[in-house]
Amino acid sequence: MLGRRRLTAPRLLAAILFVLPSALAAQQRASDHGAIVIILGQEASTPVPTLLGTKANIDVSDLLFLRLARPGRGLVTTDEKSFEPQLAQRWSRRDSLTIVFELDPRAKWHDGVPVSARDVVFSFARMRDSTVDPERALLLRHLATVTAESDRRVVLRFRRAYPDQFYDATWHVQLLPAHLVDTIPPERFAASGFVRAPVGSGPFRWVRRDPGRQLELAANPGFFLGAPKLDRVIFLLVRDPEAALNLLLDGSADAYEAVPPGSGPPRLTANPALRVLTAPSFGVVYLLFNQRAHGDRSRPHPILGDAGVRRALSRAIDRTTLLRSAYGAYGLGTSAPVAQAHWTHRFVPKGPSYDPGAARAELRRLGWSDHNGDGVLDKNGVPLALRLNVPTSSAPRMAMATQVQEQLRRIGVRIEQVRLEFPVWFERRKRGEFDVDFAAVTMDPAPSGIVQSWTCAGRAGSNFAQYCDPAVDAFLEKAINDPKGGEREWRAAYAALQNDAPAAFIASPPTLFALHRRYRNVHLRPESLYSDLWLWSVDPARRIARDR
Amino acid sequence: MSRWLLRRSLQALVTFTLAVLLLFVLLRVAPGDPLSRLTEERAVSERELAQLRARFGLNQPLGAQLRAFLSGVTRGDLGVSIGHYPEPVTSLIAARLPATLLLGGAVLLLNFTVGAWLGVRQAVRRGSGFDRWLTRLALAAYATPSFWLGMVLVAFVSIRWHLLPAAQMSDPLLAADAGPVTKGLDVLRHLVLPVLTLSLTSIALPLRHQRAAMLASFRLDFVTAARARGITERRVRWRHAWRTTLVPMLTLLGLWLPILVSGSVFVEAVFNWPGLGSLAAEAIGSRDYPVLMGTAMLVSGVVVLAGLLTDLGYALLDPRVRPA
Repeated sequence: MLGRRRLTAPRLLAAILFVLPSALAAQQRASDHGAIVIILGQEASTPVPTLLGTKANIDVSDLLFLRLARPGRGLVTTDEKSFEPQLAQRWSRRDSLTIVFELDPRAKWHDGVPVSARDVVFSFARMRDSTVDPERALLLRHLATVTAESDRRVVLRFRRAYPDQFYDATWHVQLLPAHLVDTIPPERFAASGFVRAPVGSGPFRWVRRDPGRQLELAANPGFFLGAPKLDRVIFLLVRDPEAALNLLLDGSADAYEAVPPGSGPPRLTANPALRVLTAPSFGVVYLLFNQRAHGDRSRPHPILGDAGVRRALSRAIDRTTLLRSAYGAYGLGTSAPVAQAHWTHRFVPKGPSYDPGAARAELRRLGWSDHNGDGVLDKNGVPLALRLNVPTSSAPRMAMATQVQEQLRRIGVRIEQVRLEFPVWFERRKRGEFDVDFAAVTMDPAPSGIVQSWTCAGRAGSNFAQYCDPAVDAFLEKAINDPKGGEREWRAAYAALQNDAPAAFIASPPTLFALHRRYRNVHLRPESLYSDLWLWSVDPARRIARDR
Repeated sequence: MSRWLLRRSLQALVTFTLAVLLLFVLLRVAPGDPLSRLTEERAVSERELAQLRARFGLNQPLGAQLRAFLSGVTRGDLGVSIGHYPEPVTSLIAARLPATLLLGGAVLLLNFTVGAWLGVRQAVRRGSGFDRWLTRLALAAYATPSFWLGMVLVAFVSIRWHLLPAAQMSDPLLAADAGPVTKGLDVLRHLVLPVLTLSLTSIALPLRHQRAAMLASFRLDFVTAARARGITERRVRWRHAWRTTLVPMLTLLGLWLPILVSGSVFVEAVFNWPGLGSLAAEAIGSRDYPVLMGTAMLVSGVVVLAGLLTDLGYALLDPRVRPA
């Protein structure tokens, strides 16, 4: 009798009305799940904090390990209010030197252990150890102490106040699980079991790595910010760009971040299943003028030591043509060591316009004329002839080098292209064995990273051209360290650099990203392309076999 | 025979040792910084570079580096890769060797069975349309760059007709716990195009060798005598004439054996085949000394061993060259 009463029509209807929507919702939830096969050009053999270094490692590490917070979408590294919470739920300031982070109580490591203040203290200690990661230790040099006030509260105290303080407090350190790592000595960490199967706190968890072939992650269903919709993420190692395009075109792979700008887009967009997205990058391409003599840092460069010559050379380069030839429709220029993704890029003054006539006149004013009629300018018997080092690993730079050679020939400058294998190019660059170096760098998301290559202090590091101008240093010091440093200071610093012309800045090429059309909610972050991957989903109408 | 074998083995050992020493010195003398790839995507301070140099022993004098290397070799330790840090070189080679052996072995098998059989057929039907056309086709394929043929095959077979995968050695989504049959069939599907590419562009060599050797053996007296005794043509062909062609074919096989482990750089790149060829090419491009030494030692070892085995094969096959 009781059972029969339960199954009366109104009760049945109510049950259907109650159950059906949730069942449909469940089905909807399931139907926008899927998998993704991402092509990487390098192997991610150690995707673990303190052992990063290559982009592939960083890409994978960003899915496994979180930071306390990350910059907002505008990437304004000096505006701590714009930062987005990750492992820290909120933060506050006790004074200009002290930041208090409250950890998110929902955050857990992939083994189920809650993320605690102990993990934060341990991770910062590891990163600040200069024997572990000298580069990060240097970046964290202004940090005085990291202390745990409770299980969930951590206090970071700095030695001085500066605009990038919050960025330094959050960006450089991805947290490691102290309970699993603190017994492993740093020198044995790389070969440890933890690195072979890392345990993080991110949206995806480790599944396996097949060395030389692929690496697999799976969705972390308990991710405290929301379960990812992509259940499987497979990173395929494909070194040859042609092979990578073929895998996309035959449907074996879904995403590739290094589409060759010339041949890639037309081939990929001809396939209706694929699209090519762009994301601003932190890359800058430039012709670096050596300030010191070729291979001899004790003497100034006989030609390029003169800022007037450098300015003239910079004016004789037609950047529009270079960009079009090397990057097709995707070329983006820059006229300072600032990438398109930097928040200060909008402050870069318009650089010197292309004017070969003015360049030639400037060189004439400086005493460079073609005295012997061989088509090459000379001064005191010294021809205006320079060697341009180009790495053969970069097709765009190889293409542009020939055009630079021709453009400078027109104003009477002889350029000899020296095409070098990457390790040889790097070696010569480091030793200062070049006149002009066709360089490309990926910069730090904070514009303050400029000091590494463009200040007197950087000469001991990556300032390979030994460029040093105390006036430029002073402008940069003000822009970077003045708590009120803003638009005016950055503009002045960039203008001073442009006037000194330590390099001819050419491009900040965007990332060309090939992606299958079935993915939705796609957002590519310039500082970490895949860090929003957990928000991506699959269009239910376009799911393919590997999504099921 | 045993003294000959011992002397020949010692010679091989000396050759191998000299090759290894020469490789070690040449690699260190060649320009290029082995740490360049580690610093490709970010600015690295001198301090970090110094730390990395110390980690890989690159800050040591050449003599000390050689001593450390040789001491490691005696323990079976070829060091740690610079580009794949912290992977030991032996693990990297062990991981790549099966793929290379599979690809090289399949090509070798195909070339020395189908190629040899076709060569015999051509010799038997000398001057016929079949002989002329097969010669033209084989030489045309031989003149074709393997990477180009690979790209054409991928463009049509994989991308246009979707018949076979464009690259990889296995389906990346295949479950790790899939059965051996499923895994085997999957690898076979992926193997077809690279094998076809390498085989088509190289089969002319065994085919032409076999044809010429067969034609030469058909002219020998004992073959004529066999025919005169009324032995069937099939028997004359395979039991008498073909057996005499084994020595020249063995020479060719000996020369090809190193391909088994050296891999094909271009074809491995086109098909993203995870073999030793691409590992070595990558190591050359980044001056990854430990990996380069490891792969070079393996190839040198196989070259020396192949020479030794070929000599041994001669002795077994032909009593005239057997040592007293």
